[in-house]
Amino acid sequence: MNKFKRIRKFAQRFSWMLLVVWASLTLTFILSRVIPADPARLAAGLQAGPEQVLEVRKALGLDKPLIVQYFTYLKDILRLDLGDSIQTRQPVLDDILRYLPVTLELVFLSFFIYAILGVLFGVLWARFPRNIFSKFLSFSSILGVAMPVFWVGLLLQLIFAAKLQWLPLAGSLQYQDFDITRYTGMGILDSILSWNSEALRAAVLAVILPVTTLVLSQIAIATRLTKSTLEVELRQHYVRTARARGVAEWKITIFDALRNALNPVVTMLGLQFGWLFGGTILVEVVFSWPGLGLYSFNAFRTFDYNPILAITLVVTVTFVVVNELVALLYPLLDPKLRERK
Amino acid sequence: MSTPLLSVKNLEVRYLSATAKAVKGISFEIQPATCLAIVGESGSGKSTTALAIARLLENSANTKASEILFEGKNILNASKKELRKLRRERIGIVFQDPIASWNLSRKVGTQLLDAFDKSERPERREKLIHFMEKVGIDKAAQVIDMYPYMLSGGMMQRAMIAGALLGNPVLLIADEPTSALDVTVQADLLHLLSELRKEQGLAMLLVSHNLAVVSQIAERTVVMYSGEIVEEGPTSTLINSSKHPYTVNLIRSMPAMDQPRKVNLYTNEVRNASSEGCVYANRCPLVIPICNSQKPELQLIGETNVACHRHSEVKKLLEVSNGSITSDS
Repeated sequence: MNKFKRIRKFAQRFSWMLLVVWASLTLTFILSRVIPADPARLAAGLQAGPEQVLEVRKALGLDKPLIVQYFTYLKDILRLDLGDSIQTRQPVLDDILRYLPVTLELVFLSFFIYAILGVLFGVLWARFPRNIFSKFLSFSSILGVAMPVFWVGLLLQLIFAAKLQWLPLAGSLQYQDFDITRYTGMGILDSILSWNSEALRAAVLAVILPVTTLVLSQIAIATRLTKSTLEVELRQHYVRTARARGVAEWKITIFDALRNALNPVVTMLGLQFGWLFGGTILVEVVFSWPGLGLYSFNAFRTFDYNPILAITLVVTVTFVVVNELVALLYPLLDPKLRERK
Repeated sequence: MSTPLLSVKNLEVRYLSATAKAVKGISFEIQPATCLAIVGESGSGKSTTALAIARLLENSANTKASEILFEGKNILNASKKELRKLRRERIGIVFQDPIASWNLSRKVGTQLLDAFDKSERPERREKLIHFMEKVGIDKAAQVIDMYPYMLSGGMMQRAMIAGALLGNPVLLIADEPTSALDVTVQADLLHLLSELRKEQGLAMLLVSHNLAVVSQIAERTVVMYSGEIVEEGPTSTLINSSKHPYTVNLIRSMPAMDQPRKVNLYTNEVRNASSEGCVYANRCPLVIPICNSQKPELQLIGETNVACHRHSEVKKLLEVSNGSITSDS
């Protein structure tokens, strides 16, 4: 009975996830066909005559009715065939598998750093609101949100790469410079797996500026949300009860109040993780980071529609999956939800 | 008289958000192993007093006092570490609203044992189970691993009391421990509290708005009104021969089964409270001009301390009027 219920619940959620993915795919498909640019024209090249363009259009299946194109597209996706990129002349799937890990390196690193630091700063801010550090946070966190990502990136490049020359200006780890194998596509992980300290050093140096840019642009949200929800919790009666029992203040803050305050923070972090995929586009362009962001930037620029559709798929699926994972976290934080399940 | 366990002198509390003081320089003592009750209506400063003694008001209020001596040491000078030790081992506190006073997302036992070092916990856990059984919780060993929201309000409060006893305190501060619970549970818990108190030799500071509750437990009672003590003395004397009009009103306001409900002796006139006069002057049915111009000091009359210019007339005036008094002025 219980097991049956659980399966049904899972099936329900899963079909919702599929529905969301389908809806976003359809929407992107419609947009890509409505935009008054001609992919066949672009694919055929500037020198191509009308017959050649027609030929390309036929080859790409763009001459067929829209509804037919749509179903062919859906069918291909089900077979994991995402089409070819006009630009790189390779299957989009191969491109994505190649560029995704490079982006994930940025996304994972900045996500963990800003999740941990954001919550930590929020806690310090809520606990010691009159501290000078808290005042600095309240000022700088507004600044962090207000400054555009690309501008922060350029500023960091100017200071730490151009002026001080401590860090590389742009680009990720150059595999050919070091004798390492491309296991995953993530520079730091590959250098560790290849046991090459030189490469590791280069990989870490390369990652510092883009990750800092991403963290700076995002951290204020986590900090402010943690601070405000924790403040509310610290005013609750149960905190006073714990104090009355003689529990140490830091223990009350972390185990009692923060735990209860974390629920909205976790939700927000989940959404931001999805957002990071989009957020990396600007950062990757500024830092010439050869990941999915740069790839999609080039695809947008040349109206290479297959990669655009594929990237939409990747981002949507990530969003949906991360949010589902976040939903699984709630019962860990709130035992009441555990019972209801 | 022996040296008091707790002696409060000139306690003053002002909430940072308020203009008036919540507690206006009150003094009282608690003897070892006795119960002192503080009664008064909402806003009289009784809970604030209780919290101020445990120094639980720090952030939201400004607390001042000549001294708060507990076991001969001034609590006001205690460091954070000493305070924690004091709360863990010498003073137990039970709060009013059991649901709000528990963190609903952590297990009962975890919360109650949080204050103790890891090495101490297994031993304390055994002790906690013992106390939980004592306060009438069945299957205490299971309840300890349950979440508070799984328990009823009465059970939560019982567990709270067990937790308060865990450190072997000498003083139990109970801030309206039963007012959030239903009447049958109230009676049980009060009985339990007074039993435990006698058995463990605890002193108790009981905060309540209910004189009936207090009369069953407390040896001495303090009546507070608007942040001041208006009458103080042995509970039975205070109830049977009240000398302050406010105490009289407080007693009359309690419904009794076998009597028609008595009318409160309030005047319907709205008068402004003057800062020089008696705090009760603006509601007092026996008010005379001096009440508005001169503050009555607490003075020992018979067995009770009372702050009223007309304390000698209260009884007479009340006998004359059977139910309602019209004001003189």
